[in-house]
Amino acid sequence: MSFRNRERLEKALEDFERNKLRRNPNQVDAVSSIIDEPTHDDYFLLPIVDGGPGTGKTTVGAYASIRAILEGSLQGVLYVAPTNFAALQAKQAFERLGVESSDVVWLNYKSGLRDWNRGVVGARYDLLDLGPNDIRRLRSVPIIVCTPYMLKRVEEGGLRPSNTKVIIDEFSQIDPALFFMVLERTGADANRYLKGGYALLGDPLQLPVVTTQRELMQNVLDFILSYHTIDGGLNKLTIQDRMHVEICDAVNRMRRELCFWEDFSPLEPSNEVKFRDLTSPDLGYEYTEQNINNGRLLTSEELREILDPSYTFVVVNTDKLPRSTDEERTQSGSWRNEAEAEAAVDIAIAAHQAYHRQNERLVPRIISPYDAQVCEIKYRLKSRLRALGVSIEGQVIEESVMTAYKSQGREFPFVIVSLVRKNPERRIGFLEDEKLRAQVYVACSRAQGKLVLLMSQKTFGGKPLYDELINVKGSRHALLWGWD
Amino acid sequence: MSSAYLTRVLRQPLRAWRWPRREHLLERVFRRGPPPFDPFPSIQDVIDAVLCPVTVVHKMYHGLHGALSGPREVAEKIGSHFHRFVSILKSDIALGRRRPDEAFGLLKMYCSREGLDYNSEENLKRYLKYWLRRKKSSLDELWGQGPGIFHEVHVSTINATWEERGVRYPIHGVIDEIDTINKRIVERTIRGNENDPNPPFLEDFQVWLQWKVLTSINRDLLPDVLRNEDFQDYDLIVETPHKDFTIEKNKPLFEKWAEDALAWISDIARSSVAIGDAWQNRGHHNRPCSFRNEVEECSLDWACYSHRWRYPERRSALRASLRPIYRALYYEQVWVHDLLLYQLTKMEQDADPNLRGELRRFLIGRKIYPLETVENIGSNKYRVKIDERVKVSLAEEVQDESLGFEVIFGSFSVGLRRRAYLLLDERETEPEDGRYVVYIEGMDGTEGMNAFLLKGLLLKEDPWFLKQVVQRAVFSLERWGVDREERAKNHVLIKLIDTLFGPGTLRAKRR
Repeated sequence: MSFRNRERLEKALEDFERNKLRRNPNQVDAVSSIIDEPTHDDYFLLPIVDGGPGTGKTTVGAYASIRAILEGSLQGVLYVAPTNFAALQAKQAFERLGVESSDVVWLNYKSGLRDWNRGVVGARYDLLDLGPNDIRRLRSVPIIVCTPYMLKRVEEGGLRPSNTKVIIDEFSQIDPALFFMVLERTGADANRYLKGGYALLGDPLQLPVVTTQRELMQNVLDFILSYHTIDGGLNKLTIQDRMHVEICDAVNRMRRELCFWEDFSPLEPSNEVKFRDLTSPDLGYEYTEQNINNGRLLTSEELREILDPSYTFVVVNTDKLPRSTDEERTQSGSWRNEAEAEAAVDIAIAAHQAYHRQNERLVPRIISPYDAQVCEIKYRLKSRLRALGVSIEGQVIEESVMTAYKSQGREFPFVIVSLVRKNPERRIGFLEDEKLRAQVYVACSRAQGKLVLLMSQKTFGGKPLYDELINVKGSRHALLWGWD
Repeated sequence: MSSAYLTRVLRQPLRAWRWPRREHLLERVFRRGPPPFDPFPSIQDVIDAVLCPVTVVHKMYHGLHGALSGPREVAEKIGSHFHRFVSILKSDIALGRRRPDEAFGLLKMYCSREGLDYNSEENLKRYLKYWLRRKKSSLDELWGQGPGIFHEVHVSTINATWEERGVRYPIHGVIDEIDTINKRIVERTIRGNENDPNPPFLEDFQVWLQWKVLTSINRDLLPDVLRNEDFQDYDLIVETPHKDFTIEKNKPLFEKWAEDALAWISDIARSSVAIGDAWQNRGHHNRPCSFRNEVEECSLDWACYSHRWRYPERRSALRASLRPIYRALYYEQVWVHDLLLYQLTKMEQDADPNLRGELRRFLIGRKIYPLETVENIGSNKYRVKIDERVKVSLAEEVQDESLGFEVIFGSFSVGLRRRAYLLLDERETEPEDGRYVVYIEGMDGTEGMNAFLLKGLLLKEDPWFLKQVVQRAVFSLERWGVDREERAKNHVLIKLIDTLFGPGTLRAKRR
């Protein structure tokens, strides 16, 4: 069992080691822990990699997997992610490191879907829709990525060799029950030993398990720590390779607030990204202020101030928007805020007009914790672009506006976050829930070069997480727009 | 396991069922912890509880269901395929699409479409041969009669009562067949032999229970095609491939069993003492169950009596840590799934018209989406139009993750329930206009019925039935192990469990 493009892959890995890995000793340690055998004379090794946004957790998991297979210490890898979307993100991480699409198969529930070139295979629960040749191909693929619910298929079909490592990604969303399910599906066989063992990757502060039950609220790491101390601590990744220092500081302020245990470790931007804004050579956008026109709510002057590339973190007080509206509950039970949606569209269109590189215009991403707001923004964006005669494919719009859940594991040059809630009673629902407020942390930490946050000062002011988020005193790269 | 009790002791009947209050139904309280109401049992749950109260423990906490019908891999699968095939055959014959003598050709097509293996196909063929031998003339009579037989009819009530005590119970389930031409309610099964003088064990109870549920539902809630039927006069039939059995309706013993079963369900859902009681009373009312003397119709004997492995050594600590997890997973199902059943049934049947109205307003656009079928475009695909009032809500739901739905034709109380898949990639699907192409199987006979989509599978938050999958896997882990020391010594999972729950050193970093 090996890779089709072994030589090219080895070369790509060498480049990765030279350019990225060597500068980050924590990543090197994490990789060697993942590759190592699980059983030792005096201890059991369950590699746990705790890394904040942009620290390269998934990349570390992917790199370690490839390296171990190339060196022959593992025959295969089973990469488990809590959602299909996260599984797809993991597959892309492998491909970015040079693995051919056909060598990393995303196994999913869509029976009849079989594209070996793209490495996407669907199977029904009893595998009867797969022929013997399909099963053999799956057995010979070096890496399979899937959700925990697909593991029964992996087990039934004997799709992984015994010398496999099971890597569980985004462990903040894996509760103890799901963890035990993964163990049962992959290791509970008296005759076929799972020799490679397990590894856990994630950021305990990110999206939590969604549940009504206290026992399932703790993620697998909390559960393990409630039973056992971990000798020597976790593999902590703290150097992030994504966010400008101003965005990183905002994210760190949130992390401190979300962190309920003592050993808080702040993220540090790598030298490459520390002062990287949209116009830095790495991201490479040119900013043409003159291209900005009046929006429906915001004037061209206001938009220019917000979009100024030197401000990498901008918080817009939506109380000060002209024709500001309160939130509105939709029939589905979600929330939307029309004025805030319109402002997000104003900013997105102005950014699209003002920033470009080569022949490509910037497509900002808009993220909201609420389905209804995402839907509202999509409609408004489509109709505005139609009115302006701008032709953007529907799919691009679909992909440019998303919920916080869908944004996890991704990064974008320019992110607009819409928090929606605005009401005289200052209710913000789950956005102040101890665990679910992590959605705001996830949404904000997707931004590389610029982050614009839309929130009502009157509604969110005085709430610890949000006060910390806007605590930008003395910062050169932050702008509090419309703030009292 | 000791067998102190040779037979089951009848449970003291409940004085009242624990119903969800208005604030739960309208979701005005935060869902957390144990649900303050009883589950919404299915007909299958009641039958399993009659079979043995321990099946209720396995269903609720270990995700194991279908104690009587057999494990999914064998009997249930063939049984449900047999029933599905017969329903397709009968519909096709009634609609004049196919002659009875084309049955085996149709079976071949069915097996190929369902991807069934050779053995399953042969088994089905065998059952069909027996069945056809007896049914030939009735099928000939059925030819071209039009839609008068309804298959897989979903029924749900909050007004089931037994004897004269007047305690109301909720029950939902599926009736295999309502035959308005021959005035019969049919429970079809592949169990039983040619020479059996009686119907297969508890199948008579099942069809009786289905009939009780159906007749407890107000006639106004029935779809037009069934509204004028008097189900009190219908025959109750248990149909095996070999024989039809007519079941008597006046059955005081069945009433006692039903009441006893519902008391077990309510008690086991809320009390661990009741779980102990269930173990003490395992088995059917007149057939106790013990190791090597199990009730042979029960397919869950393996879950009750199993080998005790030597390794992992820390199994008891593992088991103790799993107990609250089983319970939490069960509560989650009740909050998500059973509460929805209460909401939908009470929306149609509650005595308070204000609550019915409030529930309707609350659920439409949030959990149910009325629709209208515009056109059949072949291959079980239909062009549908979602009600104008809720098209935006549905668009919000479908934008992010794949969603599966069920479509109900008629009412939730009595309707035809079919699985529906919104085909979002179809060119003619336009969520903004509420237009979708939908894949729905088995829509024959639904013409002119009200229809609505019912939110089922939501992947962003785990759907309720996946909690059962997790329970089953965790239960399996709890029971798994090895005996041989040299195997245990190198086994990664045993090492992990023994380290996690024992004194060994656990490291996350390589030393």
